[in-house]
Amino acid sequence: MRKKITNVTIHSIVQKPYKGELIVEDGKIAEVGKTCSQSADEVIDGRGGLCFPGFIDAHSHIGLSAEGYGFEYDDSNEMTNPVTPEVRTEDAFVPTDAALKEAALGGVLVHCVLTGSANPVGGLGFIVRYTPSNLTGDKVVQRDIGLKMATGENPKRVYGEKNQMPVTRMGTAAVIRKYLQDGKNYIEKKAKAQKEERPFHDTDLKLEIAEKVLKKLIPARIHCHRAEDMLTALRIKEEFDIRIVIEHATEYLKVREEIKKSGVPVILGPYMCSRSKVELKDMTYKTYKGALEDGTLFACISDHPVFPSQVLRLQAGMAVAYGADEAGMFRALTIMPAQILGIEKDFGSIEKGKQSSLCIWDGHPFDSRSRVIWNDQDGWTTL
Amino acid sequence: MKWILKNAIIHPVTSETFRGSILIDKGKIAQINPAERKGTKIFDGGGLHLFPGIVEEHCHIGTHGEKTNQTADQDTNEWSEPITPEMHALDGIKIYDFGFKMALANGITTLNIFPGSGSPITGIGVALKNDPSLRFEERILIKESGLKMAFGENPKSVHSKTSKTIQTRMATAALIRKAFQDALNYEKKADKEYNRRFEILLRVLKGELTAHVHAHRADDIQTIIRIADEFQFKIHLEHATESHLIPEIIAQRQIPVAIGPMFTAKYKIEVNNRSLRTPAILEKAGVKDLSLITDHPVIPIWNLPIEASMAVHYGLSEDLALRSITINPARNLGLDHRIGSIEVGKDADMILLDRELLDPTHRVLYVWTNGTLSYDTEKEGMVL
Amino acid sequence: MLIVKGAQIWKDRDLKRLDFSVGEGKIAAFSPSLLPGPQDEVLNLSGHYVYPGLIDPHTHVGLLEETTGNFAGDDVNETTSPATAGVRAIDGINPLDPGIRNACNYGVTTVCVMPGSANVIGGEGVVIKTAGKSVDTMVVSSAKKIVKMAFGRNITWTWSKKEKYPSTRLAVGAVLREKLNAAKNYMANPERVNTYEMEVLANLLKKEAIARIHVANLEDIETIDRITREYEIDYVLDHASALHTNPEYAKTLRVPVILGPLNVAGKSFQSYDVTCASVKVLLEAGLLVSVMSDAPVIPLNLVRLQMFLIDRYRLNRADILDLFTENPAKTLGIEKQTGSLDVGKDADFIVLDGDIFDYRSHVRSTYIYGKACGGEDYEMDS
Repeated sequence: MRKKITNVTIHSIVQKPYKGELIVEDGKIAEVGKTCSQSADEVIDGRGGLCFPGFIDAHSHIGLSAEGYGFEYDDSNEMTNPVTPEVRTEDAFVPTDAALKEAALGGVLVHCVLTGSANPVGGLGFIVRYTPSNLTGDKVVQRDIGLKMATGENPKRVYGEKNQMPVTRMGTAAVIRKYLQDGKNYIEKKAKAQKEERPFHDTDLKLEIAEKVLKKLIPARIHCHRAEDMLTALRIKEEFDIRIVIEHATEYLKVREEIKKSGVPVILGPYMCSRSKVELKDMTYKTYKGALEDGTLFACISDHPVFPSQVLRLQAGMAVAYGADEAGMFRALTIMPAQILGIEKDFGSIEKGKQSSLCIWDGHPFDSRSRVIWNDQDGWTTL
Repeated sequence: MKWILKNAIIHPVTSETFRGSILIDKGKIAQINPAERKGTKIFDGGGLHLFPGIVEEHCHIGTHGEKTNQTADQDTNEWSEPITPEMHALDGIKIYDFGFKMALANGITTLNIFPGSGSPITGIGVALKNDPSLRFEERILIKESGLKMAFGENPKSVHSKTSKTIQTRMATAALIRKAFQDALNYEKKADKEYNRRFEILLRVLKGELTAHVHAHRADDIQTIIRIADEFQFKIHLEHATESHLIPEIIAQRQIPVAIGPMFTAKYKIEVNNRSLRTPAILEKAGVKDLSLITDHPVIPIWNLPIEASMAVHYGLSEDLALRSITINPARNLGLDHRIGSIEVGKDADMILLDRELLDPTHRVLYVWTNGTLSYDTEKEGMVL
Repeated sequence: MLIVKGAQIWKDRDLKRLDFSVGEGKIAAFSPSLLPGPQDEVLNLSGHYVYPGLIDPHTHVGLLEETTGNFAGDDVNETTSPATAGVRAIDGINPLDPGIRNACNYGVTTVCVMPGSANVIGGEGVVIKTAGKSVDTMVVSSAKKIVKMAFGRNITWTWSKKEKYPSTRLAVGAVLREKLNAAKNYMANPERVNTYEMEVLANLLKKEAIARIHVANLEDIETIDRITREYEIDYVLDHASALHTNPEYAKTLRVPVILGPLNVAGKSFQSYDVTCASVKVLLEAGLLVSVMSDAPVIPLNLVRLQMFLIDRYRLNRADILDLFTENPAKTLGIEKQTGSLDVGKDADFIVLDGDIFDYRSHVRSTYIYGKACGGEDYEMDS
């Protein structure tokens, strides 16, 4: 089945926008350009709309507290133990969460679903794409893509109430450090068994994940708002020689030099909300401008349900109002999160060979009056 | 609009079954076996069974949310205080609750909705016509259909935890006595401020409002009879699980009894003597004012006619079984002039079935309320 | 020998006029007319109908006792740890529970009794016949070994109230993985110290036991599917309330499902999607479907109500009876022993005074291993 999309302005992200066409075959972009030579079984007239790649929300809890159910589907934080690397967001994800469909109407077709930030060591995230199916399996892009960690106020608030470590930022760092050290010891123990040709019968599912982090197979996705929390994260990265992504990075501008030097990608947002915690005191949309100027690899995210993923684009628009470059902010919704998540071969731009993850807009995505009128999963959309 | 339903086996319940037709006019049953006139719309019953719409005398549809979060949509029991006659089920009903559709699809066209049984006096019920074509307020048949009271385990288990006012059955009785005595004292006061709580209790004492009393055990039944005698008010018994142990008392006093839900496990001590034979035993003892209830969501409301089936399985006459889910609950609610049987002048609430109503393998095919087709199973599917 | 004469017999998916003989608790022979010998006992059942004893593959009878109130007779959930593979239903069953008596009196001759759904791993279930005073003599030893498990909100409801792990659905799967991993380690360890809990879990890994998994929602079914593939264990889906919402997916699972209880209303979130229609949808999807009462959720004196309700979908009545006889027998691995009236099988049968789908008909007597042990009128006596 080959589909041709015509009569659209193509915002490929990698090129300047142009009026053009594209061919989609077997879920992939087969051809894109001003005109396409291949024939098609079906032609979709894009009604003069703007064709964008689906936006990527690189830090979300969508599906983990499906809307309108309360307790029954409230599964974003396993707050009973500060170290829960073994939990997986895929196991709790609700594919029928109404927010997924709404996010698609707001142009977001890919979500990285992470555990919450109650635990210093939270759990494994995974990446989903929007489909109308009621199965999680139909949505999975990639499993076990990173281990969520958290610093700052959240862990110490949650465990402080229980009089359990961590009750301070020092405690949080110590809990993370101990976990990674246990992981190192575990790797050695395994290696020793192998060397002595003994069967290894102490497999530990928590530490199997530390092993993945320590071998740089997956990054630690570390929730940090404050400058000092980011420096702690960088310190731990150096100590254990691991890959990390800094999440939220609310005080990015205060440590921009250090982050630049480290080459660590950052996830910026959510800033379209109130300063509900002390550590959010200096939150500002200006951060995006700064990150663009620094050439830092970053993503603009909703942290759904902190604010709905459906309006993620409006946060990017606010960044432009605060001086960020518009093309840069589109990259922050598409190709840059794809690179951070390691899915840039398939997602993040309109290029030949990538997955067809496409939206046609009836107006500029940063204009609140615009909406997605067509996407490759639903076809023509209705509100 | 006039129309004729023809070619059906019509079970009026209050008279002999016959094969024939009926004329419906302005939502009422206008004529039996009318002559067919040109221009009158005709619905062919296909030789199937026509029964009056079923009447549920005691359920919590709408107050206890169906298909919803367990805590957010439970508004059946205001358990903060033990005596709350001023609560009104009407104020707790979720209008778009799925339970209404469940009831309609299974032929239940009238619903009496009570507050729960968590307190000695829980509040006032409301009787609704289950007609989705009407605006909600228009569905109200009787705005205040009775005062719900409760004895036995439920008020004990709730208020020993919440208001700490009840530890024993004695306290339940004492609180009810005190409430009625307070109301009488209030009435005597010369210079009184309006008190809704007492006004409602006084309406019970004046016979304007019936007390529907939740009681399972024979001793609880007799306690409420004792109190009703003391204060001279009218009672109906709800559940009356052990009424088959004292059938002569019920028969002699001609107290209306609503038996059910019959299909739950013996999960509370006070229902240990539940028996599917209770309706038959009561009939044998001469009790005529028998109705059956599901207490939905305790058991799903589609079980109402099946309870009648199982009562027949255990010896109840088919005639009383059918009455116990139609005309008897209608009469208990004071609605027998409008609903509960197929008779000229009554509301055209009717259901067409492919098998007899008492055969639990029947399918409800069409449901009419006030003469309008409200449920078409072929189009909308069964709800089970 | 016991010679049963004159009845209509439900055999090979139809009612047939046959006599049959019973010896040593088993069905010995069928014939249109059997001549009794001088030693034989004759049971004349003309005008009656004989069906195989019904099988309920998912109950808590004996564990969650009726008529005892809330605590004294409640032994269904060992909620002191979220994974209690080492506990066994057989050790908590009171064979004198009226719930078991009900089962027998109303035609259920075999039940599977399992722990509840408050724990991710609840414990070992057991299959028993419903007549006897000692549970050890009631056990059907040919049945597969059963480990009860559960997913979804019953777990998180139980453990979040205690502020203990697993309080969210994030961690439910993790508990199961951890325990199965521990069992793997246990099996690999030559110096292991034998524990009953680990032996039970090892049985799963060796495919000597099946997991019986309480689940409602589709997304939890997907998680179960993933984990059982990771550890290569056999399982059965119990309740599976939402499985019929995606019959195409259901087809891919190729596992037995036990649906029900079907006669319940809006009690909990997980029964949202429960419907009698799911029986039809999943049968059409080609799955091995059985129906449970979850007794005492639906007490077993009402076992036939679910049959009546399913019959409203106008399925083939033989298919409906299979849901309560052969299909659960296959699911429990006892189909060679019971579940139908065939030569060599246990003489578990019920005698009705009418068709089993006729609500007016009564179970006049129940036979287990060829011995009369119940019937509706027995209730009157007790």
